[in-house]
Amino acid sequence: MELDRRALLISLASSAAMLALPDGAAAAIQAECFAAARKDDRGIYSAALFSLNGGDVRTVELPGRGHDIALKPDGSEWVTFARRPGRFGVAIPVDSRPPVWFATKPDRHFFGHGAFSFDGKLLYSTENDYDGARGIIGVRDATDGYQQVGEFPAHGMEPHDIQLLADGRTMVIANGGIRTRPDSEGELNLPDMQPSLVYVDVETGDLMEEQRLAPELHHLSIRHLAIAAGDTIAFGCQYRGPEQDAPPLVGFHRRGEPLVIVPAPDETQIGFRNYIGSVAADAGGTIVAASAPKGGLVTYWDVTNRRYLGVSDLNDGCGLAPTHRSASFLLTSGEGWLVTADAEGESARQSSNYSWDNHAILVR
Amino acid sequence: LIRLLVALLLAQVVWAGPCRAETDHAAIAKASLAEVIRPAYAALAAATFSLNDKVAALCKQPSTDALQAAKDAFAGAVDAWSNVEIFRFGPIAQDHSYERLFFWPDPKNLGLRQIEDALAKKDEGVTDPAKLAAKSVALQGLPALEYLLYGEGADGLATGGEAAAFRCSFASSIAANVDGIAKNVVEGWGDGSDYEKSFLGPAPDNAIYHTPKEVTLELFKAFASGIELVRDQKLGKPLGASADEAKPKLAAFWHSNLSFANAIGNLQGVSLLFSKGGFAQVVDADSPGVSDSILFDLNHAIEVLGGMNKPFAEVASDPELRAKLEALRVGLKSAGQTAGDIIARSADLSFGFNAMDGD
Repeated sequence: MELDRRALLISLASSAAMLALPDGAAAAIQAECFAAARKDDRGIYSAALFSLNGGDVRTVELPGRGHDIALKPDGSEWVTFARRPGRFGVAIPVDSRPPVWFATKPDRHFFGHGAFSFDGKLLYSTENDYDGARGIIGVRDATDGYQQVGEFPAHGMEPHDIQLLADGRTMVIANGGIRTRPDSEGELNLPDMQPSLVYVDVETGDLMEEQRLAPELHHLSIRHLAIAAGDTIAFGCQYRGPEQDAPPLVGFHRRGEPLVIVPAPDETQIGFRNYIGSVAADAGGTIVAASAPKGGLVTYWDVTNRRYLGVSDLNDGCGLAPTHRSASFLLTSGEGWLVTADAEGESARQSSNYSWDNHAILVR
Repeated sequence: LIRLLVALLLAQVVWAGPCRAETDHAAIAKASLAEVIRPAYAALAAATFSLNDKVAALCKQPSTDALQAAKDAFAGAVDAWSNVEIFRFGPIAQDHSYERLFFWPDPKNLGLRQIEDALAKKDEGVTDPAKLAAKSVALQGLPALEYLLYGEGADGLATGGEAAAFRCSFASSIAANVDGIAKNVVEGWGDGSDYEKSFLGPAPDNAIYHTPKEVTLELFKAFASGIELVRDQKLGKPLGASADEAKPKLAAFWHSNLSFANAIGNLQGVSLLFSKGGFAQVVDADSPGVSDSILFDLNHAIEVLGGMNKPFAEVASDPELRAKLEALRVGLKSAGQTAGDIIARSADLSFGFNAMDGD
């Protein structure tokens, strides 16, 4: 078993490295630059572009807690969104140009995630139309101060994470399914929540495909996703049903194929504490990592074979970003740790004075 | 057969752990509601009743004594509010009540700008409590009232005159609004209320709390984030990394010189929740005697803050006092972590930076 796994990893790593060679060779020499939101020891929120050896490259203080980062495809700027139910967003150039701030409409708030169109001209974001009790994808003009130029329905409640497939036209949306309002507590529809994974044509806003879970799994809120090789979506869930159920939380879907949710080994499955906080694909797109901050675990999965590979321990660990090396990830934690690891174990670990937020990305 | 036996033995070992000290979630909810939440909001309502009364009296008959009485009542209301400020759940979290009562922090000074605007225009909408409730939250609560009673031009309240009369009726309208919110919160937690039912009897189909453990987590969040509130928002940010970087105007209630009283009140709320709400027992069941050391740390912090008898800006530029406060911040962090680790482990809770539902 152990040998199988190792052999598989080596073969996966080498094939991915070969595929990635033209760009990858140059990139592998440079140290990675990552971006993430965080909080410092005085409670000040910021978003930072940073490298593991060099520290901060650029930071911007935020008016509240940030969440995920979206990278403009040409790598010239990155955007961080307010954590729900915040309303601010800020685009930060990688050079010294000033940041561009924007906000949601008054009756909306961000859920904290977004994605750029492939030409870099439009920014999509997940938003809550709470009076209308529906999820919205906001559309902003990235070439003109991030002014909002439109929106379309998310075809589900509580859109959280979004990405574009390789065609640049199909958006996949993780609809968490839970109805909330910023001016009231609680989750207003747990008994009949209906999470979904939907595919939407961004040019028309039309629903192209909708994947719902089996009725007995309707408490399984689909929240985070990553696009792996071959447009395979890897997604992570949070279970809002009885705690002791501990259902599988990491799933895969590819258009036209059935959706599968794969259990981890029992001990790890229980260790998830019914909560996956972030999902990321590695540089080659054949391995994904899924973090469980409540359980203090990060797990690794083989995309091709839809198979569990291994686990790292990291208390309050949530943020995940690919590194330049195949199968390897940066792991960030609320307790300040920045860890480089893969399914075989940790290769580096350093501390910092920040509580790192739920998500991180590789910028270059 | 041997393998089966080994498996059974292992299973027993594994399961023996969590069963050792089962946390009584229902008892924590009950004690917290009866011993902490209800009395603290009742005290707030009593204080806002008196505040409303004293501000109305000031407007009716302006005098130096009447202004002082209104200020004293304001300080009493700040004390009472500070105890419950750590609770961000329940009726106070409905309809923006929390922000209406306490719009803070306000780093862009939105409140001050709106107040000055309303004063300059003599906006009649702010002198009628019913209309005020529909205005910006920055005009409705304790920070706005603080500016009217202590900020530039407040001395005129003691002598009267046209401008002072408008300012006073604005203040009086805020006092009435704040009193109304406090009353609503007391009722919202009352016998037979939806909140009481959900808090004491959480159920899967309830809209607020689904399991007993969620209620414990809510209370635990108030404890842990209450400590963080003082450490970061009340002290860390306004103190800044050095005297040169201090931003004393980020301190809460600096106009009235009640910044430290506010932080003391917050920690008293935290301490009360810990000692009377059931968490001290949870800690002692796991590690006997540790609850005393946590309470000692909290009380020590309260004592140090009580010794800060200068305005926040002066404290922030005094190296000796800064060092005291920085040491206090470190002590609070360790007390919070010690308690947090034990409570999270014993009550089987997750409360990391990244463990919030919905993220």
